[in-house]
Amino acid sequence: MKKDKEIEGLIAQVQYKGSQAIRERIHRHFEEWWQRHVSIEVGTHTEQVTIRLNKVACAAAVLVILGVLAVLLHRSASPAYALEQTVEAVKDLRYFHFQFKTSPEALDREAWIEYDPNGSLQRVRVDFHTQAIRSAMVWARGITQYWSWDSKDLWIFDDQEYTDLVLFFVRRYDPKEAIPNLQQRARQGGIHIEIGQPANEMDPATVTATYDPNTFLLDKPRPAMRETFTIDPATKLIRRIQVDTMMNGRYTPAGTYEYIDYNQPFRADLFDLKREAPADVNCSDTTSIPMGLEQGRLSDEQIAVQVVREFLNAWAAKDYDKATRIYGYRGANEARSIRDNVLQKMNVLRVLAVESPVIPERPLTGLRVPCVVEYEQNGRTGTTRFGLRISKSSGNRWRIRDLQLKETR
Amino acid sequence: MLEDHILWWRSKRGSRRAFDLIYQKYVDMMLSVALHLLGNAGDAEDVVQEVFMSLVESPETIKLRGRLKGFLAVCVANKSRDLLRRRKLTPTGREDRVPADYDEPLKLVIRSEQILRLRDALRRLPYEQQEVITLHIHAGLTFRALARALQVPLGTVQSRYRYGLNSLKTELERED
Repeated sequence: MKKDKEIEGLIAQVQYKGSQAIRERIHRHFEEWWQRHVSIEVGTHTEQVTIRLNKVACAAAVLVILGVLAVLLHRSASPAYALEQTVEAVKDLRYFHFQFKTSPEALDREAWIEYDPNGSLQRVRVDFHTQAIRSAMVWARGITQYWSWDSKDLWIFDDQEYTDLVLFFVRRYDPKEAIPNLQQRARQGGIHIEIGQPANEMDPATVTATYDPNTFLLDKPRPAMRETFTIDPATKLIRRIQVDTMMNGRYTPAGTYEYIDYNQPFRADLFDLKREAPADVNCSDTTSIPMGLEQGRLSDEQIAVQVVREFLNAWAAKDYDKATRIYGYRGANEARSIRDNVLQKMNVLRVLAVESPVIPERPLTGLRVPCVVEYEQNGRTGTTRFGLRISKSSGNRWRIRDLQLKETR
Repeated sequence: MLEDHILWWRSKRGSRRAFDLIYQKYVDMMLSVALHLLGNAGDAEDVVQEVFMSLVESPETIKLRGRLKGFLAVCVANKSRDLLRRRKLTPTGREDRVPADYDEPLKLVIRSEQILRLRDALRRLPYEQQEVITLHIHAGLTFRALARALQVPLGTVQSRYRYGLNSLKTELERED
């Protein structure tokens, strides 16, 4: 049985953050109110207190800078490490293999990344067993295989949003991409890189990347966090990455990545889950099923409206197969879930309006299309307003990503 | 804490700057509490906005007891409870909302699956237990302060917390 402290620690990690857009909207509302009302400023000590606090903070910062300079001067005689040495060391390597954990109590996970001889990303495999689920994912040039041992499901699908997730993972933790990605992010702002030079040739160098709070990763604002790379003194390759996030004012471990071996070719069938899965697995290959609608010559806004219109018409006509295909899914289970949890939950009578698309708030991508339908429930009719989010599925096709009921009358 | 009291004192006298500082300092915490209790960004935004506007529009009617942070968190919790109560009477209850997305296998690589499970388990707890757990852990309110703010006996707060924690433990052990 888990201890109270352990559970409380886990609950503290369940963090929700409002998006920047939400914060801005609340503030704008507040600003508007002030503009309509005359505020009477009463002189107090608050600004003075704040100014004094700022002065203390500046003095502390100066002391820290002086301390850092003193350490740097002291180490100036030691061999200097530069990020370019790691970039150069991995330049011609093709095979990367590492183990990782995304929380201290999680099981070890494993990843394999393979590049082709021209240096392009070719294949990725991630085994992410947890206490509850054992599963593996293989990605190869846009096509994903996902196998769950426990549910005996094997999905094979082509989906741009999933590919983006895989590429995001690779950019952060693949040794070939991680350092250039950090350098690029640091140039854009929000990330600060600090190199800890080794005291002597036998010691590893460290690279610490500190992320400002609300730095966007994969379009999602993150809390302040820190990644510490340990660099092998001889090969200049990454040995380990430690990820910590800021919780209640202090850094808390959020993941470790241990690089096992470099450039050891993988076994031939490592990236073939279809062969690896048992014969009784439920294989659902949707790569040949056209999801959503082809964009053709339509603009992004036009195709988004078209997808919504056809989806709603199919829903109202109770053509659930067509509606599910336009909605888009990755496996048979997901298709069933859309039918049971979305389409059959509401009896749509007719489409009243499909409005102009708007850009959804980060981290969501694509376009959101508001619409109004008339529905029937328990013998009563009413109208309801949806926001449907549409984005690219694969190639030139667009599909629905999610649906949210906004208001019902 | 002293700074908060000065800010509050100033805002009661109509200082826009003081309200701005309160907003900057606590908007994230308030949104986090609202998102925990409501599970929906749109509703959380409405509730936090409502709390801020009630502070701005009639600060003189509010008497601050204890810490400002705790006071704001409890205001958010009360408004969230009101909203959920209202929803039960209309067709737009939580159960009417269609799931926004499906399990993304690779998201499990990036985020701890245990935390995801815990998040779902938290949402399944009775509202009173969620409220006590959220306000104690995420807004840092003591049980005594919670009892005062929620106007229930201290023992009730402690037992809501205990039952909630035990349910979460059982849930996690079961799914392990």
